[in-house]
Amino acid sequence: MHEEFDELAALEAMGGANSEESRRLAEHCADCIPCSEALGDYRDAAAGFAIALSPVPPRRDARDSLLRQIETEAVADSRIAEATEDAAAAVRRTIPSWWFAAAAVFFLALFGWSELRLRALTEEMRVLQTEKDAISEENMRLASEARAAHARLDTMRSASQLVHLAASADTTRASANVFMDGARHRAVVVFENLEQNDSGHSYQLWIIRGDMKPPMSVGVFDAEADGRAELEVSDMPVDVPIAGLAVTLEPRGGLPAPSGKVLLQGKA
Amino acid sequence: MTSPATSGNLLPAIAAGDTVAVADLYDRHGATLHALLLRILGDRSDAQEVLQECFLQAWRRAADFDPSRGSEIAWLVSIARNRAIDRLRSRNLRSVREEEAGREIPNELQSVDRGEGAERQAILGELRQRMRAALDELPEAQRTALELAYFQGLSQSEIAERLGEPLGTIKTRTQLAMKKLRESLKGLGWFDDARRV
Repeated sequence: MHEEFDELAALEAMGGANSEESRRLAEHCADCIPCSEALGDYRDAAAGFAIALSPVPPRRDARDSLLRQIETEAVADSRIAEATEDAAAAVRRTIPSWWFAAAAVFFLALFGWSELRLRALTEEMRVLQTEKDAISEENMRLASEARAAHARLDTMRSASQLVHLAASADTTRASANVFMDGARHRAVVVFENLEQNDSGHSYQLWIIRGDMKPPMSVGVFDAEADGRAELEVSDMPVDVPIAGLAVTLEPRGGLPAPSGKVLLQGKA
Repeated sequence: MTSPATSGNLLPAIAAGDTVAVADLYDRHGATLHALLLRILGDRSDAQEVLQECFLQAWRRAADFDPSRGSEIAWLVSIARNRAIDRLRSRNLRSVREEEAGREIPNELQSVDRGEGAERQAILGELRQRMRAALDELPEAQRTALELAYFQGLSQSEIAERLGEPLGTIKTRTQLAMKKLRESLKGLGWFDDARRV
């Protein structure tokens, strides 16, 4: 006897177990004879509430009416059974036996075809599921990009300072605009006409300090083939006097201090 | 007419289509089920109607009866109680039942034995006395919880709400009461006799 299921059986017999408890109990009792017997006892004990009442005979005419109805049902059932048997016998008499063999072959073929079709559909479902997963992933990536773009636009709209960077040499048309939002320490830099950097180099943006201290790196970035680039700075220093901004080409990943020549610059 | 299944369980014979066995079953347990239905529904015409439905269900579903899961009478009582509770809920008869609960069942309906199965009636009478004795041994609070569940079909939550007590307390009380009832009835040899009627 299992205590937990004995308690559940007691509740079940009184209609006090919930559906989950009833399911668990039924599963357990299928394999546990003592608990199954306990449940039977509890059900009989519950029936005892009815037995304990003083019996009240029902009306005699109700009994007769019930028995008439049952007789009618029994006759109808036997007629249906006879008719079904007759029909089956008639079918057996009228249909040649080779028809049954042909029907068996047909159904076997139908079953085989269904099985193959089912497998094909299962495979198709698997492919569709893979495509759905890929689309979901792409969707999430695009949503993430959209959020980033909104954040950049937001920074550009609320920029308190705009710095234009122009090419240091006349040989290039490269330029950039720096949108700085001092209140939120954020900046967005949009570059145009930059020459695409090779894989061994990165562009690096620097703050030219007004206190004559060495330039401070703001971030590194790569230019696209069409000469465009964007750099988003989320922790723009606010306690540094900014005299201007400049861009250099540095070894991949950037350096602590500028080593290349200044390609773009502008005054803050 | 005498059915070949006048002793022991009648349900296998009914499942085989023996209509006389249904009449025997009705004579054997009709009065007990009718009393239960009157107690739950508190309305004679409803009780009579549900009784007919109950025996029709027994006729149609006799093959579902599994003696390893309880006695024949427990199976019938369970059908009758479930149908009565369903009707009680669907017709919202509680107010009617409460109105009529105090009314005594007329005396002319109390006489039970029509002469058939005198021995069985004697066993039933014994079972009734022993069940009442076992119920009397239960503490009042436990008996109340069982009666609310059984005769009014209240869920454990509804009983807790009705009595103003926590749900866990009511569940424990129901479990303890049923365990104690089972032990008492076992000691009285009640289960063996219940499976004979």
